[in-house]
Amino acid sequence: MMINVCIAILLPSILGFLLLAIILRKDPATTLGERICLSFPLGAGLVTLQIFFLGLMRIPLTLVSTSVPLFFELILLAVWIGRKSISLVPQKRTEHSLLAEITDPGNGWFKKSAYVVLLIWIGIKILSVFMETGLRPIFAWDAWANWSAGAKIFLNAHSLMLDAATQDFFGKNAVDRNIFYPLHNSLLQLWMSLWLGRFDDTSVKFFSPVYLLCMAVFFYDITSREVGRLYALALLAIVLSSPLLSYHSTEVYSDQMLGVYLLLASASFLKVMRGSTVYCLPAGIFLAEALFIKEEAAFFVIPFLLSVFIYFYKRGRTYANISPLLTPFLALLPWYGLKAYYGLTGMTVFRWNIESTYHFWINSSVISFQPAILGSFLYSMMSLENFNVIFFFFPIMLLASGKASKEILHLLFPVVCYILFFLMLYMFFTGFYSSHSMTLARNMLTCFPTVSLLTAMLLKKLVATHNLQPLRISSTNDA
Amino acid sequence: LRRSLPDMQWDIPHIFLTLPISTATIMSVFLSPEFRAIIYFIMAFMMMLTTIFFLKRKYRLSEALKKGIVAAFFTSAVIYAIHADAGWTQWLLNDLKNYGGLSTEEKLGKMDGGLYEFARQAKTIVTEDYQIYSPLHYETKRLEYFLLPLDRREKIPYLREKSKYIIVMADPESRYDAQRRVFTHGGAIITDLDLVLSFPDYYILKKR
Repeated sequence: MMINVCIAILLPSILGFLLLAIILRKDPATTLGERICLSFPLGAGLVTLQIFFLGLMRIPLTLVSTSVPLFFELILLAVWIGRKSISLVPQKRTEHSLLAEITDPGNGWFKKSAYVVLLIWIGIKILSVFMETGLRPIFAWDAWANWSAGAKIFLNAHSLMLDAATQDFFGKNAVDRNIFYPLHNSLLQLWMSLWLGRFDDTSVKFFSPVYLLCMAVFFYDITSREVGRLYALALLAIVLSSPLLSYHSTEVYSDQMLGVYLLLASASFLKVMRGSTVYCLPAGIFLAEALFIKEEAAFFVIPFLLSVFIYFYKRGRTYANISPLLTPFLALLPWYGLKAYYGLTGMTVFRWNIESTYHFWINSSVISFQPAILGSFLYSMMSLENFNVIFFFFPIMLLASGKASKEILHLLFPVVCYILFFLMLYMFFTGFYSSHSMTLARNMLTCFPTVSLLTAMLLKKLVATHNLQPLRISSTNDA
Repeated sequence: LRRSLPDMQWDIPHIFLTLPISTATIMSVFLSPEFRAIIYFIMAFMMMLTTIFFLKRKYRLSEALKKGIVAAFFTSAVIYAIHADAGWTQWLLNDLKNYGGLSTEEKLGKMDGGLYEFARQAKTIVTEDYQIYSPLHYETKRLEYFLLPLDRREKIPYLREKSKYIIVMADPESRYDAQRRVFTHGGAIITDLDLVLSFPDYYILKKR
């Protein structure tokens, strides 16, 4: 069974890796490790979109029908790479490896010990997440009642159940399914199940820790360039210690994987701002995939695109750079077209018209201004629950680091808009902010990796002051 | 603060308490208020200490403060991380003890107890869409999940009574008369039903 799990994870990874080899062929700065980490999230998103297209075309969703196009694509990409002589392994090795850092005689024993301790800590943590995933079957409410219920139905019906009344699409509201929710999670579980030969409540979850692994290594790679290897390792250990992130990485929730895609999109944009414009396409793909995971991703993606547009507009280069970033969104047209045509929106299924909209949003008790939530929101963000001290220190670091760089501002803008969106949602609509701010924690998990990246960038500014010389106050001493 | 401090339980087990994760959902992870207070104290202390240290070394106040923030961040974060990962390890070891070496079916059986066994047997009996009479929300949804792709009928009375299979889960309003083969639920009376599966709190009836 584990071999099948490995194949189900490896195939999308290979697809992602080959695509990245082509996209990043002129970017030798991206290390092999980074490419491998980007591969699975990229490939998994493409595979689920592909399965959705197959389902839309009423092609039975079997192992053969979902795998054959993938194998065909892999062969096509391999031939292209061979013909164009594109190197799969980047030629340029930028810095010496972490191992070389540990064995470097120039480093003191304390630094070397810190490297070893942090590496062991991180390694054990990631390994333990994989172990825990294998120990427990799906147990969390949203995971089984919504995402897995959908996967089970698709697996059994070999279809997306689109030959039914609108309210019965995607297996209707079986168990606790929301039929207007994006399908990435359920389709990824379907993909795993097709390879497993049945729906297995334990094995089907293994893509979740893989997302964590990809995020962790990529996060380390990108932050080590910001603050150095030691700080990057320490920061990674701190990020991975987030209890909520760890627990979610063992389950088939969508919050953690959305967080990974938002991080990858933000990091890709960071690379674009630093001159690697080839990253426009991966950034666009990750953003489009994020929209296929959870609906609220739109409130990150829209300000993100605005930020990108402003960035390029100020440099007088708009269309040429924006187009590769926007192109991947075309793949989502069938999904949004289907939703718009059949009215699969909002809290219930209804045809989009002024009367029903007015009734639902205005003439019902959904809207209610609750200012007390602002205090509760701020308290939760500062309470250290779930996210270590990252959210507590982030505003402090932002203020202390002085004038924010353009890079930070461009990455910060979508994060702030996203958090404000949730705050407005909680304050103006009833039912979104459950007791003890629990919904907030899950929503914040989706931007936690990106906020952690921004924390690393702020740390870079703060740590850089270490190199400053002490102020020479007394001139008499010099004399 | 003065009012809340005496309410805290400053005993070691409570400070480092890690609550087990409930099987319902993971939305938030418990952190004791005492531990939180300790972390705040460490932050303030480290920031002050580092700032004073660098001020003594003739750094500007702003630069010394920045160093204080970095020191406070890493110190408090690493202590928090150790605490959080200790809690994580506890949970992992607990699950290793409970679920290690078991198959998925055995794990589900252990997790859901009698409900999973009932669902497992029900799956071999129920062959088409069914109706559930139950006041238990979680258990009902869990059973629905186990019985997928079979679907629970809508709650419309007409459709309810049309169901060939009726599942009753600890419903005080439901009565089944085995002699007369009659099921009653409030005002609804359904006749010609056979008892096909019976567990202490749950049972399944099938229409003839």
